[in-house]
Amino acid sequence: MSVTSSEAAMNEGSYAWPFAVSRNAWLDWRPCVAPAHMIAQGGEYFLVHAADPGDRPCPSPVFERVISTERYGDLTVLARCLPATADLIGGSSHEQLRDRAGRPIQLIEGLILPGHQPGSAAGWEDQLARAHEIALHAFPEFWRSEDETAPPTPSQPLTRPLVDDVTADRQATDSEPGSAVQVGPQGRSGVSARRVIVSAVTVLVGLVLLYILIRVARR
Amino acid sequence: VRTINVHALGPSGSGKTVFMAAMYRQLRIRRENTDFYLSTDNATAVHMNSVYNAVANPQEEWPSSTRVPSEWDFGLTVSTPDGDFEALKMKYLDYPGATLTAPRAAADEKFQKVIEQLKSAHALLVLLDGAGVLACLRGQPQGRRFLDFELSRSLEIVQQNRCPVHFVVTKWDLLESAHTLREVRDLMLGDETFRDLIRARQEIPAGPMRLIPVSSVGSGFAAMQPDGQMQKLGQPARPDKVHLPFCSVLPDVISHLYAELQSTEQGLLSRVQRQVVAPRGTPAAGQGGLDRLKDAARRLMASQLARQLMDRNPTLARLLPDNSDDLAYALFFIYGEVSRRAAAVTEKRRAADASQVAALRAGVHDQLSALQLVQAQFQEILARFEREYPESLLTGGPGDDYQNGERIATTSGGWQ
Repeated sequence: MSVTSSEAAMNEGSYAWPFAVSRNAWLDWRPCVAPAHMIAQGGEYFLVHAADPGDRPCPSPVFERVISTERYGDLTVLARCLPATADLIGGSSHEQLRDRAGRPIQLIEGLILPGHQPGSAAGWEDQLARAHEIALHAFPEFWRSEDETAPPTPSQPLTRPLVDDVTADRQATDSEPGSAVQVGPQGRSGVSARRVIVSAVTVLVGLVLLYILIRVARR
Repeated sequence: VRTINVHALGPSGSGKTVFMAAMYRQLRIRRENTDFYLSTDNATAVHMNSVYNAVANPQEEWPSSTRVPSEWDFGLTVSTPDGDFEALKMKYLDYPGATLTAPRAAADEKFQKVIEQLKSAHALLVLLDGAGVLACLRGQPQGRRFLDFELSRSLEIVQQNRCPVHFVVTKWDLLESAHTLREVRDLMLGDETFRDLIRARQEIPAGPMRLIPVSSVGSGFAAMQPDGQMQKLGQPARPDKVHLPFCSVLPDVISHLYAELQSTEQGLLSRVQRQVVAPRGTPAAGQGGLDRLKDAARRLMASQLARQLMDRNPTLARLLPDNSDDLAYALFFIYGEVSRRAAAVTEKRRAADASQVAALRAGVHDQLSALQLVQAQFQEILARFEREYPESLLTGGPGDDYQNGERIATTSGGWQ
């Protein structure tokens, strides 16, 4: 689905932009994937500190942070930290990538959501996986770059599917042998409105039947 | 207690984070022949120790490079049998390397605010990557990148400040077996930009500039691989000279204060110097009429001098006390310290300084007396270092003086 950045910004809660932050042997920390409109305005660098994992161990689970910026207002960052290994550039996943001083490099990737959206990580799992793919695609060129002025790879907004669609997709995926879907630690609610109504009606009918049985037994 | 702001600049990989951790590690304990130690809040102490433990452990990776600016607050405390007295506060601001080299980082709101803070710096710590210096000395291509690109922005910032500047040559363990500090100094002065920067500094009232070699891990701890990466060798870490940049700050800020005061109004400073002959504590009661008159004149002139300094250099002026009596005493202290530093260093003088430190140690009873003691001990430490490495002083050595924008004296350690 293609939407403009301004359209997306109007629909808080529905759109999110993939991003990735890393460094290579020579270039210091910087975004290697960033929202296209932010790159156009030269304002994407804040992602480096907005998505800083701090003292978290790496690899880290998805963490969430709400930040305020002068240019873009409130933003919600969903990010995770991964060790940058050589498989990102066609090598072994056991080989850690390092900068020129020998320090290990990490890949910090995730989504940037407009507005203040705490607790939204669980609803964006599929798009976080998509953001990972985009970061993997962009990394090899970033790794080769020595150009301090080169902009990051631009990203377009991803949409969040409706809750029912997500549930239906998940049920379909679960039924496939050998597939595994990981649900976030927050316990994302995969319960649809339809399922809630059906459950409520079942309970109600059960209660009515129980009431009738009791009345019949007393006679 | 006033806070001295020190801003640490250096491109990525120059060793800022490891140096800060090693410096804290060295100074957090009161060492032999000193009476001070460095204290900080629990979170900073835990962070610094965990960084240094990772560095010193041969089984662990080097810590990742810094992504965000960090501020570290330290208290310089003097320990006495009667209790501990905080003489001074120091705030270190650690800039991520990208703020200096990445053009797209320059547009960032947060980094712009950080760069704006440079105006409040009382001293600059510019880290020269020892690996880059070594590449220059060997004529390798990475050396040109170090001088022409990585160091460029730091030198611009130095140009825009008049505060003391300490060029710290990190990873000295890579250099010390094959090169001397004089060779490094000659290399740096061989670069036109660096040379002109030093020359310009000698023509204005400004803080001293030093070249200080440090090793955060010591000799034999790590070796540079052909690809430039540092590999740990399994030997214990033994930080070397990491305390020197810290110990240089207070004496050099005092020298800068004096240079600025000297350039405000020559006659006024001379009159204050003549009037301010007695340390604070001279009893006001029982003074004669003439003494009281002199005392009033002293306070008036000191306040006038402070106002002039506030117009010229508000950042520096804020380090001076507000109270007119304390201000007059601070001027006395600054004048005394600069005079002492300018005097010839002889064996007799060293003995006198040592006995002065002993007397100060016995008399510590408040923040001011604690400050006097640490200043005297810092001067002793610096004097020893300067005797061993006279080439470390790039500008502002003992005997340097400025009058009407003209340098009127040089030392063997100063730039020739």
